[in-house]
Amino acid sequence: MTPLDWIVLFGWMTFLVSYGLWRGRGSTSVNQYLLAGKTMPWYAMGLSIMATQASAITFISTTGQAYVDGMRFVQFYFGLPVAMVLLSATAVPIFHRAKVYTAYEYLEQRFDAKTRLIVTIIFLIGRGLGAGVALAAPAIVMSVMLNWPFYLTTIVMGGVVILFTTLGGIKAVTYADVQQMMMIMGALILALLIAIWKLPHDVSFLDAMRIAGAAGRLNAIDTHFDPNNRYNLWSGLIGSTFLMLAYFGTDQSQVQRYLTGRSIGQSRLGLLLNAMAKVPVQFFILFIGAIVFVFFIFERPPLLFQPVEMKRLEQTAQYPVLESRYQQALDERQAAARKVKDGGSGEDFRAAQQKVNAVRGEAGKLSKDSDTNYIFLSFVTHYLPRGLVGLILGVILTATMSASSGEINSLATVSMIDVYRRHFHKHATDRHYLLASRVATVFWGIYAVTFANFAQGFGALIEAVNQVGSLFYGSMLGVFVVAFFMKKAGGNAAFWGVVAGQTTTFAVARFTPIAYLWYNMIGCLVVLAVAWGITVASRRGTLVT
Amino acid sequence: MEEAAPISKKGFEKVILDEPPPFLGTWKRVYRFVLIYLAVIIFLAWLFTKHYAPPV
Repeated sequence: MTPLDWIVLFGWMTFLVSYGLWRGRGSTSVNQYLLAGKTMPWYAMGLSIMATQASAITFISTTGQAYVDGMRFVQFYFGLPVAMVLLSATAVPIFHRAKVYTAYEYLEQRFDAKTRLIVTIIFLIGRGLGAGVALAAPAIVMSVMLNWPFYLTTIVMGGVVILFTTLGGIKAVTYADVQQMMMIMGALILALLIAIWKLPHDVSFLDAMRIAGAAGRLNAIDTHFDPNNRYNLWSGLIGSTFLMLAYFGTDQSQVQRYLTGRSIGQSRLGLLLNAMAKVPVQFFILFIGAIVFVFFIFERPPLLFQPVEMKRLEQTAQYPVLESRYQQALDERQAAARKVKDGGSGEDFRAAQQKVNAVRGEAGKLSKDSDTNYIFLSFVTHYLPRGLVGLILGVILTATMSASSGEINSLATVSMIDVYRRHFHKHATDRHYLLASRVATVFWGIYAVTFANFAQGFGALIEAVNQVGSLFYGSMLGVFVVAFFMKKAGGNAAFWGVVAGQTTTFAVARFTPIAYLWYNMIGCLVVLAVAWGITVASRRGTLVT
Repeated sequence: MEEAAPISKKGFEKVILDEPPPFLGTWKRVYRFVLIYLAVIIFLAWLFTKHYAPPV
């Protein structure tokens, strides 16, 4: 990082925070602070929803994933447009007409207080764990790239998030997200153009595509149904639809976004913008990873992209042998790639690629950190012009802040509306609740920073906690489906449905090898079955509800 | 359980309108358009994959 990069990095962060605060000024009532006074236009909601999902790890990890495994991860997003359409038709008008701050407030209107409480607790546990991880995972990577201690990275990122979320509320968060999303796309387009421009003169863009294809990196669609394969067309269309329905329909961090809309139509348009843009955007991000893969065929990549682990590897006894084998494999791969460019079948290339993978695999076993997350950042820091490096690292930092601020804001909203106001202080003034919302924001911000520092010491924990959402989303989705579509179901049916759905999901996660993407569907179906059973039994007089 | 007191309803008091979409006339048509768009995207991605797939 040159001085110019640092100036650009801090300049971008300062601009984003100032802009968010300026747009969020005047949030002097609870409604303005938590729902932006219901004034948000559709494009701001749509871009903010996309920015909240797109944490830094999405960009650094997704490009790395395409480098290593190809583009098949794009199928994970195929359920999103389906979910957006279903939610636009159901949840959006229902939540708007219910005039609620949180999705869980609606559950008390529809069922009873205990159903609202159990779902609130489920949300606070699941999202609370996620908020720490959302900060920890990218902070690990950024602390290495910026050469900052981990605690300092989380404190800087968390501190800025707390400052501007507490002062500006959801309006600041949403408008900062709009700028953030546009800058991310601009920075990624520039990164792609530079990767193409830096290819050797005799390798055209179409040659690069042919080589990436021969390497299996352009494998966007897999039509074979295989329950053990996490990413194929069917898991994308079925499993992912349930996950997206649960995430956008029941997670307050998303629901709150479209509740800020000035009308049902504006909220629908915001969600549908996300529906239409998300798949092409993810395709594009993965495509960058595939082109960076081709770039590193002609430009020698390091044995490990993680700079600290690479230095450590160089000190080991195995390093000279590994490096020598690696260089030989890279030479073979480059020669084979040129044959592919000239019309070769690619068999030699794949054989050479396997040798490269084998050596990298051996080196990876000696490393303590996942190398995939550092591939794109290594490309950025070594091959992009001065200034742009600082901008991209700055954008990645603020992407983390954008995701965290959305989560902290939603946690504060639920803590204030569904817990504090509902169970502890029922008759206070608007001013009092506004102050309580700000205090809750500071609390969850400090919690996220603290949790991130604990989580950092447990690499496996981060991976486990990343899957926590799927443990809880299924039963949350189930109870909302019961609320929307089982008109005769009452509070007991919903409550015991959630209890059964949650218990089943935990049991499936603990005792079966089923992939976590399916937990949402299982949890949801159990809630529906139990709620339906109780409703039918109670109508026949065999149960009193 | 006792109901909570309402917070300021500023911003909530306006009539919630279920207005028509700015294009295609009805929301049902917009939803259909989004789903057809998804099908086209998947088809194009499949063609892309097939075109660049390494020979088996």
